[in-house]
Amino acid sequence: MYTRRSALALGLAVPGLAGLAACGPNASGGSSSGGEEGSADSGSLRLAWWGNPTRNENTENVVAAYGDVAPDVTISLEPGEWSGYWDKLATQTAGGDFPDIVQMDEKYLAEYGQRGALLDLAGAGLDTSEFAEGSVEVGELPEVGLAAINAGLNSFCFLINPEVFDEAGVDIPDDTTWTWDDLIDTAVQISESTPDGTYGMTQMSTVQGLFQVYVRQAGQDQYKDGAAGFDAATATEWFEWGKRIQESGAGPDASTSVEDASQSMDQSLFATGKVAMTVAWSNQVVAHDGLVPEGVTVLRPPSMTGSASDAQLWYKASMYWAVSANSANPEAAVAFVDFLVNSPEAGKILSVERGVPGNLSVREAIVPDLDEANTKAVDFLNAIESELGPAPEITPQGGGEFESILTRAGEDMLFGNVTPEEAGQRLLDELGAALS
Amino acid sequence: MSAVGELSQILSRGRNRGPREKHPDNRAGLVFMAPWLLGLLGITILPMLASLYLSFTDYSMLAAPEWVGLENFQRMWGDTRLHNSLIVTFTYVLVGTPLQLIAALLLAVLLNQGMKGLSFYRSVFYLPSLLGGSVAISILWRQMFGANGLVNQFLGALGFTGMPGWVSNPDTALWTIILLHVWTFGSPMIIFLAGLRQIPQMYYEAASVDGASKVSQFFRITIPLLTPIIFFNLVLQVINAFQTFTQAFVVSGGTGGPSDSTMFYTLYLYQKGFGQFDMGYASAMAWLLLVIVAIFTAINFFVSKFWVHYDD
Repeated sequence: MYTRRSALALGLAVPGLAGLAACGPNASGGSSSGGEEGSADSGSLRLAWWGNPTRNENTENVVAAYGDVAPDVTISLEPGEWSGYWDKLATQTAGGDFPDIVQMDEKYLAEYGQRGALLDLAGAGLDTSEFAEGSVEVGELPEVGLAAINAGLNSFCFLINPEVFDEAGVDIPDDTTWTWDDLIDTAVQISESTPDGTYGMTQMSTVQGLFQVYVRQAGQDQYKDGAAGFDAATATEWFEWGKRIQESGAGPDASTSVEDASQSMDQSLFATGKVAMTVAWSNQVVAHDGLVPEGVTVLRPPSMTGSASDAQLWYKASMYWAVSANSANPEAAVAFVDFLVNSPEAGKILSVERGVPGNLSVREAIVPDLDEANTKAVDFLNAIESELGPAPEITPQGGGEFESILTRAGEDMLFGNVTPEEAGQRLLDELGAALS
Repeated sequence: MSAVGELSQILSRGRNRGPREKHPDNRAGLVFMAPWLLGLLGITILPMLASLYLSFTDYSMLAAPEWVGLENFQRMWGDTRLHNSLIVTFTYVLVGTPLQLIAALLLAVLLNQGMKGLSFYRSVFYLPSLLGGSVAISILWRQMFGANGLVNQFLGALGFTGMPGWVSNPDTALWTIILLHVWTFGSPMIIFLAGLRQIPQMYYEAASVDGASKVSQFFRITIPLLTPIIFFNLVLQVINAFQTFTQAFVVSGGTGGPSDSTMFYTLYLYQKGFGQFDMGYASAMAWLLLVIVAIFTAINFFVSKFWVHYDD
């Protein structure tokens, strides 16, 4: 007859006995391997990232190249798409199945890092001595240390399809002096001098990156001290500006905009030549450049004052590499990350598809050989270097929701269900709730 | 009565009137049932109990769950997006299910006329319900009802040009998903067909001798004798409809948009749990859904006393 206590004791005793047996004098190699049962597969790692076909290919190539550097390490690949990536990662986390190395985004860095899922890379001995100033700090969290290392820098930019400008007979504006009003005026001209169904610009009021540019120019920021860093008045102005895009005819109607936002990149209005201007992060210049016959032109976002020196742009870590705090092989994982960010060989394979490398010697090694499209992105980053504003705060926990909150409030406003003022207030309220 | 009819009768009465054996020997029965029983315990009961526990906790999946008592349930009162998702889901269930059953019944009656190639038509009409919940059909739906989709091209050919995208407009997006639901009438239709076969021909013969029209035969013979089957289908389809997820997820690209117009309850639950690391709240939502479905089913059974006729 088992009592609950005796059953419990038995449960504890059995693994204990097994452990004793493993350490016994007859256990083969027990002392030399230090009792590590997992030593047999110490060279197997899992690597997860989101991306596109180009990125998938060069990531596979870089892993293959690492096979020559560390032949005893096998890396299994888990590519994904942005939309499903975070759901999958969250599920894997819940199941204790977090990959060893993950591509991380700024939006979710605090989410995972402050809950203890990520390893302190500085503590694990990752060399960051060759990184550009300020490019390492963007991966630091107060309670963790270096939770993730920058995989590339980018910034927010405007993309122009010169063909549509030609068709409309409109000159491409000077991006060092243009204002938010100039942008709409230019777009209206284009919409009016092209056939129906072609527009000057996409609906940009639901784009988080541009929202951040806007509030920074208003002397605020997206986050301040872990809370919303902007006020209702600025958010209202933002939505009023978005409403003008629609009502002036500069951009498409609400329903077309919603549909455009859900299209894949190659089916979008911009890629199909139905719109002259859109916005993107600069590491996406390459992908867009391939979709537009004449190639894209990269411009600075407009400023409120008509001077690029007030544009308040910033270098963002386009993405990061992070290592799981629970990895069975942290040394091997960190060694691979070291290869990814510090080796010129890896840099040449990865190019600037994940953004321009923060490691300056890697950057020097690859920039001379870049093709035209990649050069556009690098040139843009170089051009704005002297105009940068202060670095923004890292997205606090819960801030991963911001984009969908902005989209909902913006769409409701565009469909006329709420006023810009109500949308602005809702943005603040819902963000506040998400961050708490 | 058909097997289905008996089942619905058992469902509605729920009482076993058979005499109880004094000393039942259950062992053999239990052994035979073991595979199913283990599945029920391991895959259904245990996870349900776990989710019941989690619904009283703050659980981010990354850290251990923390007991918060009823806080998750209290938060639901103030969660306007949750209220909106309930409205969306109720609209879908209350409009979509009756329409789906009417379509199923009408087609079943049509197919019951003894036409040539019946099994072919039956298969064709059944096909959508095999496909309806699938990702592929949902993607197809999104394309068809898009701004440049097949539906608008057809309308354009009829002279209605410049129509907006149906799935990207908050006024119409939900209705396209309801239409998709109605289109998947196959499984209730098959059950209706089986039920129609059970109605003795002599009733119709007698009625036509007395000069009753086809329409009044339908309303006075077919419908009353079919009520147990209608009831059975209604209960099943209502429960199914409350749990709709795939269509909403795929048609809206996982967002429930535009502006939350297709934010189904299950989709919101999923976003809370897996998108926002709020698994405690998501578990609480799952239990609220269970309670809602249970209440609806109870109401269904209660009301059935007044309109379902059994031939005894």
